[in-house]
Amino acid sequence: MQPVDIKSAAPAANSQPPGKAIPFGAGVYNEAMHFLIEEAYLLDDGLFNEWLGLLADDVQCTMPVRQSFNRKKGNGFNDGMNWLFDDKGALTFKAQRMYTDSAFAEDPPSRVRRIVSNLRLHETAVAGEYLAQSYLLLHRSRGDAHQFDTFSARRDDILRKTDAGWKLAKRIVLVDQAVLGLANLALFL
Amino acid sequence: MTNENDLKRGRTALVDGTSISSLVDRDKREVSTRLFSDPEIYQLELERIFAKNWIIVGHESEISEVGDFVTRRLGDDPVIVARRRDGGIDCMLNVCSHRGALVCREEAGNSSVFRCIYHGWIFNLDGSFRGAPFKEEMYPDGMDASRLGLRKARVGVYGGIIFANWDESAPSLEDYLGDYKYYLNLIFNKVPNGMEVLGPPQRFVINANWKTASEQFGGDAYHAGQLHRSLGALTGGSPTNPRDWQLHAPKVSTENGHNIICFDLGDMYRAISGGKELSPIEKLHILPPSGVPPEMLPEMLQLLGEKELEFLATTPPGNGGIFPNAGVWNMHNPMYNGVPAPFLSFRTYLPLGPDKFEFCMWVLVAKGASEEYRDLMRRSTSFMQGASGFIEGDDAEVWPGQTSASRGYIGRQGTLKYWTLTGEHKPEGWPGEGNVHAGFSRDDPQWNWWQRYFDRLEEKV
Repeated sequence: MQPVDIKSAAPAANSQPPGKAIPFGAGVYNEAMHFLIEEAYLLDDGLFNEWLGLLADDVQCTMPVRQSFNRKKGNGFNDGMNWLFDDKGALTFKAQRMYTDSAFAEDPPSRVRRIVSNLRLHETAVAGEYLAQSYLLLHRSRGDAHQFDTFSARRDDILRKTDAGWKLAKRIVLVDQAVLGLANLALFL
Repeated sequence: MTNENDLKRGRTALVDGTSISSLVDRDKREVSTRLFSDPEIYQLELERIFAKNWIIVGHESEISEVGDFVTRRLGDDPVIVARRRDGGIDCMLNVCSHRGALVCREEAGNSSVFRCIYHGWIFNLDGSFRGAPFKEEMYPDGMDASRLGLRKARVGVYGGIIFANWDESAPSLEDYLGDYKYYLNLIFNKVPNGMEVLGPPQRFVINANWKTASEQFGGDAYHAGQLHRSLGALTGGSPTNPRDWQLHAPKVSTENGHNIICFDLGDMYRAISGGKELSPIEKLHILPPSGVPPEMLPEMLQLLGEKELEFLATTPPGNGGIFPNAGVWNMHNPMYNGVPAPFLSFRTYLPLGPDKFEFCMWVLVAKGASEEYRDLMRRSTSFMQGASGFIEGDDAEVWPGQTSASRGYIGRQGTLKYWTLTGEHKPEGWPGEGNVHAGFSRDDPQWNWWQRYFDRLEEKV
């Protein structure tokens, strides 16, 4: 199995994906969309151990910082600096932390609603692996604050179809804000 | 026209009659909670703290080429920090002298001039006025260019970090940092070519007063074993063992309110070596200081003296605050797999009103570090620090609570307590300057921070 190259998608965030497009409504498209919806339900419901079961062992998740530039200079993503850069061990630790009595950043937990949409699915050079680009709109209600914290991003995922079901092999979170409006990212994106 | 500063100078009381000096009890060592949300105090801070001290605005590696610039905030004011043609650095108000529009709206870039989009007035890299469209037709009597440049702050660089100061009469940056320079050198000047940032900083906004984070970085080791208890799951740390939380580590406070905690690496090295005593050089080979990849260690060993190398191998400067609103964090912590990983960042807590600040964090490595090492720093730093760092995520849960709780009529009558001091105990052979507080970690550096804060707020210095 090819190791996941975590940095290959971010610079190309605005370009057309290389593989063949899979049309809306195709069987594999529905399976991928179903996977992303189920994932959002698990996270919103705080079922972190179950969510870990959706991750490939070689999963890599990153989120480059973004700056506000003039249009001709591109989309502002910077590969040098990141908001997060987690492999399965890091994600597992962060998930297991949620079950301790001292994950104060998320305990009491936020009420979170992840809206996942606009899925664009493409084949990749690796059989059984698909580039799944989707939009994430996350609403976070924290404590007794009546305003929501909002987070929006495009996610470029590599989803892998295996005998044990679909797995998330790579995720690059392409955030829309240059300055995040969230006090922390103590949640999974 | 009356200068706003002239009206305020000499003010010793708030509009409700409360004297500024009564907000602190220097004998009992208590500080009023009102400071965490009062809008009037915030305005005084912009004048007396942020316009009069050396404030961090970036790192020189962000603007390494002539014409490179970044836009930042200095206090609550937008500024451009740019590399001049002669290699020097300028920091200037990012506000057009014509009608007050933002001159530069990009976060970073390279340019030969700055042109305001509103009417097209142009400024040179050093902020001086260069020209305006239809100059002859618009201003037939001429323009006094000497009055039209962008307002400039003084700039100083130490350890690659760019500081700026609006106050022409303030002491130099070198004097401002004073004894603290020794410790900064061992973090940022430990390799011959210095450090560079991995990229632009993480920037995120927290609904809290800037001082909640700043005074915590002023030396609050005490909170770690409680607030960051989940770290114990990684290290096997016990909430009741002070050594597991470095509460025995010496702290240093220096004049002007700076401080650093010097972490004791003894337990970590003993765990690695299985109890065998190691020489300082052996220790540094096992775990080179944060930001220095193993292949660059020889450069560091050649640059630093024996005393400094021993210091780095035993109690290196780790975590501390640069007055008023910045912090450095330089240490190893175990990753989820138990393997100690290096972290190195500096950060500023930028005021955005009495109840809001921007957390701005840069991550550094030695100039020329390999991509593999940079990846290690990217992983380890974001795992622990900044917005997604599981340590600082918990801090960001506390600061907004301190802020909102201080708004209430009763809540703002409370005090923060700094009752307990370790005193000055400098271990024998300690190579650095400053007041060294060896012993159980108490409130010394934070109290030092508050004293400098009030010296400024009361205009005693």
